[in-house]
Amino acid sequence: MTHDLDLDVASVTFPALGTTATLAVTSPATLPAARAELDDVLAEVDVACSRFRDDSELMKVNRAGGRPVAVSERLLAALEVALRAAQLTDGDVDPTVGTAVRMLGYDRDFGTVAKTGESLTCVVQRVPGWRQVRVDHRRGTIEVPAGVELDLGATAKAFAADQGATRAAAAVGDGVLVSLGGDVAVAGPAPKLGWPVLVTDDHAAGPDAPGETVAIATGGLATSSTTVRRWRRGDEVVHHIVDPAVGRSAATCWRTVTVAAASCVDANIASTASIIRGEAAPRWLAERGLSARLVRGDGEVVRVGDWPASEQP
Amino acid sequence: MRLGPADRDVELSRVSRLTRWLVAGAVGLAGVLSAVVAQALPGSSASSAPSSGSTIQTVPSASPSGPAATTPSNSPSATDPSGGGSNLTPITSPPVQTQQRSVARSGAS
Repeated sequence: MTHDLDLDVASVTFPALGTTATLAVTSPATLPAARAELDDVLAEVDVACSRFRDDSELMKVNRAGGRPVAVSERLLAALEVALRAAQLTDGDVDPTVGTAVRMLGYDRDFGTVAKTGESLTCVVQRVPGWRQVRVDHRRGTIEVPAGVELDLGATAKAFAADQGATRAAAAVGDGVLVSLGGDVAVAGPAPKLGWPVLVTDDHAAGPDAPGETVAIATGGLATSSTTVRRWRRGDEVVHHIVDPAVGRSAATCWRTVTVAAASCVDANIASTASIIRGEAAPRWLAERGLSARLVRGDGEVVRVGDWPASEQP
Repeated sequence: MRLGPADRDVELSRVSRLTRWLVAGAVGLAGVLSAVVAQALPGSSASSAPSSGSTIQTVPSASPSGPAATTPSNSPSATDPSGGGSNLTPITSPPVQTQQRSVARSGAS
C-alpha cells in the first residue's frame, strides 16, 4: 500500500485480469474495504468474460455451436456494453472479432503469446458482425452462430473499472479511483485538485514515462495504443486492435489515443474506435463533444475538444 | 376495328395511369433495395497515411451530434450499467493539466 501524504490518497497495485490493477481511495482507512469490493467485481468479470479461461461463460457461448446459452447477469451486462460499443461506432468496435484475434495468434493470456511465429495465411474479410449476436433477456441467454467467437477484450476492462469504482465508492462512502490496465474510472468525491493521472503509451511504464499528467474529478480516461501487445508473424508485425472491416490489425495512423468521457466505458469505446478510424478520428471525436489526445507515430500530438494544452515544452 | 377519339382518349388515359404506377413502383423499389443494401453492407471508415510534421494541432469540439442510433431488435435495451445511453457521453469536467505526482497511469495494456 502507498500513502501519498501530499494528496492524502492511499493506493495499492496488484495483478488482475491479465494486467495491472491500481486502486486508490481518498480515505486511507477505507482501502481494505474498497479492495474487497473491487476484488469481487474482478472475480465476477473474469469468470464471465475471459477468453482465456476454459470455464468462463464467454467460452461456453463461443463453443455452443449456435445454440443459446444461459448466462449470468454479469455477462449479459458486459455483452450489452460491447454491443452498445458496436452500435455507437458503426461496427468499428465489434465483439465478434474473436476468431480474427485468435487467427492473428492472440489465443491465450498475452504474457504467454509467442512473440514470433510463422507467417500468417488468412483471408482478409469482414468479421461476422455484432448483429449476429442474439440476446434474450427474458430467458437470460446469448446465442451466436456456429463459428462466431466473441471477444469482449475491447470493453470488458473498462466495464470492470466503472463497476469496481462505483461499487467501491458506494461501499466505503469515499472517493475511489480504479485503473485496470490503464483504463481509469473514478467515483465518489475526488481529491481537492482531482485525481492526477499520467497519460502515456504504456500503462506499465514508470512514473517518468513520456506523456502528460492530467487531473480528473469524474468519469473516466482510457488509452488505446498500437505500441503495446504487438507480436510478429513472419515479416508482419501485428497488434491486438483488430479492424472489423478486414479482420486484421488496424492500420497505424495514431500511435496512442486517450479519451476522457463520462464513464471509462465511453472513453474506451472512443479511444479504440479512434485507432481504427485513423485520420477521421479527431473530427468524429469533436462531433461527439469528447476531449481527447491523439499521438501520431512521429510524436505529433493532436488535441480535441477541451483536452488541456501541455505546459511542458 | 377503328377507334374513335373518345376510345383513343380512354386508352391514352389508361397508358398514362400505368406509367405513373410504374414510376412510383420503381422509386419505391429503389428505396427498399437501398435500405436493404445499406443494412447488409454498412460502410467503414477509411484510414489514410499519417502526415509528417511535429506541430501540435487542436480540434475544437462541436456540439454532440452523434447519430441517433436505433436499438436493433436482437440487441439489448439501451439501458447501460455504466451509465451510457444512445450516445457517447462527454466528461462533466474536462481534464486539467496538473503538476501533481500521478496516482495512476492511463496507457494501453
